[in-house]
Amino acid sequence: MTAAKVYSAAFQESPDASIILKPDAPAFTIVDVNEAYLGFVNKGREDLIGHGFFDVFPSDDPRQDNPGWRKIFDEVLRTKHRVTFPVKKCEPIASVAHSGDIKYLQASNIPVLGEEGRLEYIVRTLKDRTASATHRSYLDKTLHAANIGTWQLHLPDQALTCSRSLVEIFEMGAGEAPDMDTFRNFFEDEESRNHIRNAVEDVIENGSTFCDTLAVITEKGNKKWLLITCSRAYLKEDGDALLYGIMQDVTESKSLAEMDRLEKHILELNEKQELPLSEILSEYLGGMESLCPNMYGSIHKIQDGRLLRWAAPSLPESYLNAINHHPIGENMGSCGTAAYLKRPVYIDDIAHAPEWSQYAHLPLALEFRACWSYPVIDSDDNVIAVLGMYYKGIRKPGGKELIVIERAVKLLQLILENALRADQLLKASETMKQAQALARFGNWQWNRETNQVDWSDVLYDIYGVDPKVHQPSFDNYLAAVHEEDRQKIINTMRRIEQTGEEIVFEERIVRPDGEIRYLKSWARLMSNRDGSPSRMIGACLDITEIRMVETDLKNLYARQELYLRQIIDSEKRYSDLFHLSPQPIWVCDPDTNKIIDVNAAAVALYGYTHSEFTALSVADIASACILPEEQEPAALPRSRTGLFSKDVILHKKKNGEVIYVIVLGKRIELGGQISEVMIIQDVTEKLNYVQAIELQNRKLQEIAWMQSHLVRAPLARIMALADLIQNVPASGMEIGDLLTAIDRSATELDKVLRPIIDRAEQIEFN
Amino acid sequence: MHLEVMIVDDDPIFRLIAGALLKQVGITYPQHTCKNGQGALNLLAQQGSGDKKFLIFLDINMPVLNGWEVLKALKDSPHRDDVYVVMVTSSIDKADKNLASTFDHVIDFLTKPLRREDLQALMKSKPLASFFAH
Repeated sequence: MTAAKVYSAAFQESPDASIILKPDAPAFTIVDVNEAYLGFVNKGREDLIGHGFFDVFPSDDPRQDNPGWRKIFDEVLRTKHRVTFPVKKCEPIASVAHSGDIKYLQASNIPVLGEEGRLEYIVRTLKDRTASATHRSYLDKTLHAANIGTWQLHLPDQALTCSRSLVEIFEMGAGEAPDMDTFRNFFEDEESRNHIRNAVEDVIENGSTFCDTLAVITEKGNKKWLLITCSRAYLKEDGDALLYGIMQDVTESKSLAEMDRLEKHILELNEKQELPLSEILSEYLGGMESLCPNMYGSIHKIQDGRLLRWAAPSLPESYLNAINHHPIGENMGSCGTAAYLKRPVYIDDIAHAPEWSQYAHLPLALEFRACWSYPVIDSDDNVIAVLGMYYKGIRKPGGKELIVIERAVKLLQLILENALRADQLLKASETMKQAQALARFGNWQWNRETNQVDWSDVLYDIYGVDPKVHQPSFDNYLAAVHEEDRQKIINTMRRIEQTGEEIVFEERIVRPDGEIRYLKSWARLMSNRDGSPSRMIGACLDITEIRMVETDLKNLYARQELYLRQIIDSEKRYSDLFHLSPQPIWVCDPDTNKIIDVNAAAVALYGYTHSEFTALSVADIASACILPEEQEPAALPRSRTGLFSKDVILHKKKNGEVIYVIVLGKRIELGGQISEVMIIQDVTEKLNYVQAIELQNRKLQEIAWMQSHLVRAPLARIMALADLIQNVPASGMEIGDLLTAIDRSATELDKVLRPIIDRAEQIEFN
Repeated sequence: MHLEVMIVDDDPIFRLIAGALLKQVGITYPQHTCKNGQGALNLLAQQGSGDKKFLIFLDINMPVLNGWEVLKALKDSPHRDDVYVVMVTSSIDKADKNLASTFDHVIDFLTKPLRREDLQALMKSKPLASFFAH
């Protein structure tokens, strides 16, 4: 067998469909064809051999082996190099029997050169790449699913070729493809652009492989993180180079990583408690906003059924003020509704959402169109806050965003519940401190292993010592205990240690300033797991004031007892005073004037028995006649004010005798009733005596007058006449006249003296 | 200033004795006598003038108008500033002396019988001293 025959046999039996053509462009006459090719194109050998290729396959039907490849034939002619074409998808031909399923073919045009390099034949083969193409399809799908796009860049002409997945990653429209300028602008900032440029230059020059994650802003303005690889396919001496690589959208994993970092940061802040909660929440929202571009976050506290602003670092102040304190409820905006319904509310278009019907003007004025709200519910199923995410543009949450939201809400639940519980704890602690201060109640613990004693603040106050100076210890405590109580305390402590009993006891302490305080204490021994005592805990209550009140009450009781005894004694004394008094006294009802009680002196004075008296009224005894003015002795008391206010009146005794009395009255309260005590002063005898004296006085006055005026007149005349007689010459009067005058005066004097003697004899001085 | 003496008493013997005694002690100014108070007031009305003073020896107990009534009348008299009154009574009742001291015109209170020493002291008393300075 000659070599030609061998080659011919191998050619004919080759499983690859092959055809041999002359390079007689444009005819490309078919010289030979093998069985596989004939089977593929479903034609007979005579249909092909001797015919021009494009005459046989004029259409662009790949099954007719002419999928627009004429220019590729020309390229073989021009380059005299093998040209292999990309795998081409070939649909089955309905009109052709057994055309089968979709086929993926790869055509190669192989030049056969003769002597001197002349092109003599072109061997064209069609390899069935269906199996590998299917694998390739799976790979594409996998790449697409993994958000991986491929790219290649032909440097001389800056021709960038991107896979469809990559175009989708950049969120470009159908039929669009990025050129180099567009590609550069996808990078988020100039720093990223410089970074990628330097990396590419390094790849070109050194053939290294670049791999990095960079942020881009897509055509739709979304931020995405891309894992970018770049390799050099070739670099020719003339500078021709081809770069290729992949770009994988790792936004989700990057976001989650960023989210992890943010959450860690927020948890650290929360743990340090250096910042107020509102600032931590603002920090968190700020981080979320950087992870989710175009998002404006808010966190509102829910208190008493209202939204209370907690954090919103980017929302305008005016908007926050407008919704602050708004009640929650159905159709009360996204956040109000979510808080009320206890479920997420995603509003993609505020302008047409019933939840926003009342308040849509507020966000719309700021161009917010979408708002997603998610309630933060604590472990007791109470809504404690609501997370709001606003967007300028109609928008529904995507999967990634939902993940972010759910994670954010979980973290918020953790932080807020923790903060609220810490707040409650703080308040409880403050309340406890306040209660301790108010009740003067303090607690302590004594670590038996370290002998360390700790006091609450109030204990220092109770013991009157400065917490900055005083070192609590059992010895210091014993020193403060009143010396009379010290042994009792030592015994009590021993008992607690021996029996493990919980004991309540009382002790007195002496403050440094000497003041004694009374304490009521409680102590208990705490043990380790092995039963050995570890520490003693206790509390004490300052009961000094209570003790003082008790003492006061005891004293008060004792005084009351004394008063009571005194009152009883007093009543007896007064009773004795009433009944044994020598002064007649009766007690009467001031309204009816009925006599209620009388003493023995009254009975003796008036002659009525006690029972007769109590059947009478005052009017029965008093004759109701006040002494006429002219009869009233001036010497009697006439006081009309004060305790005693009665005049001299006439009373009638049982035997009809009338007596002069002065009644001294005083109203008193007896057994809840007003009574009048009347003390009777019998002035009859006194009055009679005074009247007699006055009568005597009047007589004496008359005598005196007569002596002064009637007796002395003639007497004085006699005396004057006697003087004149002694001085007769000087008076110029006759002695006879003077003696006559003396005689007349003496006679007159005698006449005057006689009635005076008569009056004097009438006066009785007994 | 001229001074005249008026003795007012219902007792004619006293008027006589008093007139003699006054002259004896040196009260030698012209004397008038009246037997009751009304007479005194009439005399004063007739003879009273701005350049003449009357030294009146006035008894208390008199008919018609007693000494007290004369004093009351003098309070409203146009001659109230022209008189010096010396009450002369036989009463030794202090009440009379006290009552007399309440009248502005009364310069002395003398009990009967008049004594020279009392009259001489009277002459030396402040309101009268100028009349008996010689």
